[in-house]
Amino acid sequence: MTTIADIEANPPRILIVDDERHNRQLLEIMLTPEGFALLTASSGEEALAMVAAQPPDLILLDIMMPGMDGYFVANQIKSSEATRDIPVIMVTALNDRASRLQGLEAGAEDFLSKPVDRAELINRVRNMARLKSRGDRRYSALAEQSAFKDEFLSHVSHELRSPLTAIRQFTSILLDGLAGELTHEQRQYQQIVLKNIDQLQAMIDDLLEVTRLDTGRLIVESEPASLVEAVTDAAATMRGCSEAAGVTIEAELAADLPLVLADRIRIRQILIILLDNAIKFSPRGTVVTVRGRRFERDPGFVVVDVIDRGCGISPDVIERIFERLYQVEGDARSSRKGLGLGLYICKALVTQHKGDIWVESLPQAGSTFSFTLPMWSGG
Amino acid sequence: MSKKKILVVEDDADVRLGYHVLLRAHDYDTFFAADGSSAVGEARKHQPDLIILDLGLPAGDGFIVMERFKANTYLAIVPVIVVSARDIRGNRERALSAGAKAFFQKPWRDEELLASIAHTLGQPVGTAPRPA
Repeated sequence: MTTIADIEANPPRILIVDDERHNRQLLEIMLTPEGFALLTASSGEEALAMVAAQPPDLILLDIMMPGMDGYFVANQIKSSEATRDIPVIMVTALNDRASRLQGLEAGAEDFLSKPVDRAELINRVRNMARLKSRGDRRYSALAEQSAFKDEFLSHVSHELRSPLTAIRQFTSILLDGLAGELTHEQRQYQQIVLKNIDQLQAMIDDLLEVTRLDTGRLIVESEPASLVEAVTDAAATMRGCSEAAGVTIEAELAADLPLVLADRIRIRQILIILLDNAIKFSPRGTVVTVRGRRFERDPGFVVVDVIDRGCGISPDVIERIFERLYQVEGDARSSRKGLGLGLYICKALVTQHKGDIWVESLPQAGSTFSFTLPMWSGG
Repeated sequence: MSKKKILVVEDDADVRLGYHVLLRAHDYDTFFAADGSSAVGEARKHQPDLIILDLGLPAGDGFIVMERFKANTYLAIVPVIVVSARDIRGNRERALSAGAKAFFQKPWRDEELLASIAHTLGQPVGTAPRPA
């Protein structure tokens, strides 16, 4: 509840917009005793400039004005993210249904008829200001909650790394025979433990990465970078994984492939996510191809394709594949799906490089994931 | 030739034991400090050839510990490898510019850490003795 004391301490700022001076004065005279902070604008243009400079808590808006009329002004205010939540009360002599409808369509919250009745004006303004302040409080509570969630996720992910470190250490110690020779079976079981540690670690890394993305703390440091190096490096990293799946990674990089302007670590990360995905859906004995060339559709860019010969993606889910937490339903290849963050991270990273990412797929024939990166134009 | 001495500054007791088993098996002598404030004292006492340093430590985090090493004539020249659960981004750069020879994120891979230790100590990489 907004109390009288709240209003006195922090009076709602009300912007009165009317092209006729005596109309503005009349509203001022009625509202001043109520303790509101009043601002006035004599045209739509002036009103929009004032709203942009310092958003008021409520706007009383005349409709019939030369130049920008009230409908246009309301529409402008309601179509901007920063100002859309400011309540607008249209003040009008037009009492027909069509005018009121047009005002509502423009986004106005309420109407007042001219000549303005003092009691009606004050009550409508008070109600609207109270709703606004309630909304503001809810918004700031939500923002606080979201900041807490991000901080919590980041903290938890970092803390999870510590016990994981000890688990990995002693698993390696056992596997290396530092605590005595293992039987064949013991060794096999410890390998399974190690594999799962690596999966858990990758999930923690993904979780942290998404937290950074969502809080705008993920930083891309663009520099001239070689795609050939990135592809070679990523393919080497994924070799163990591809061999275990019986899949071969082949690179087909154009001889004239220019350097790109990108963050080396990030390109490697994008490639690893796409390769991991491609391997996961590839039948044994097939090839995953990484192809890189100048982008024919946009000469300032290089395009990289990661092509698999897997089961493909059905058309009804292909739109959703880059969504956060999206997972392919009924993926029979692995009972463990991961967090569903890989392609979401991938898309965010490519976008941060001002590139684009998309997928083309034919069911039962395989998928091609493509992304572009800006070419390095310096010398 | 006498064994090379490694001081490990790490607050987690399990992780300290893991270091001990691993490093001893690769023929290093190990010494330990569990927090930032005892790190310098332990280093002066044992005069290590190399220091493995965690960043998140009670009583003075790893960066403060590195400053304290740098202020000491003998310790200033002992190579430091930072091993931390903190993110590579930002922290690696900061650790390297503070004078660390390498940065590893927890959990690390033993073969990579061992190679880095051998490299830093000027030992041939990959030929460290293994247990029988």
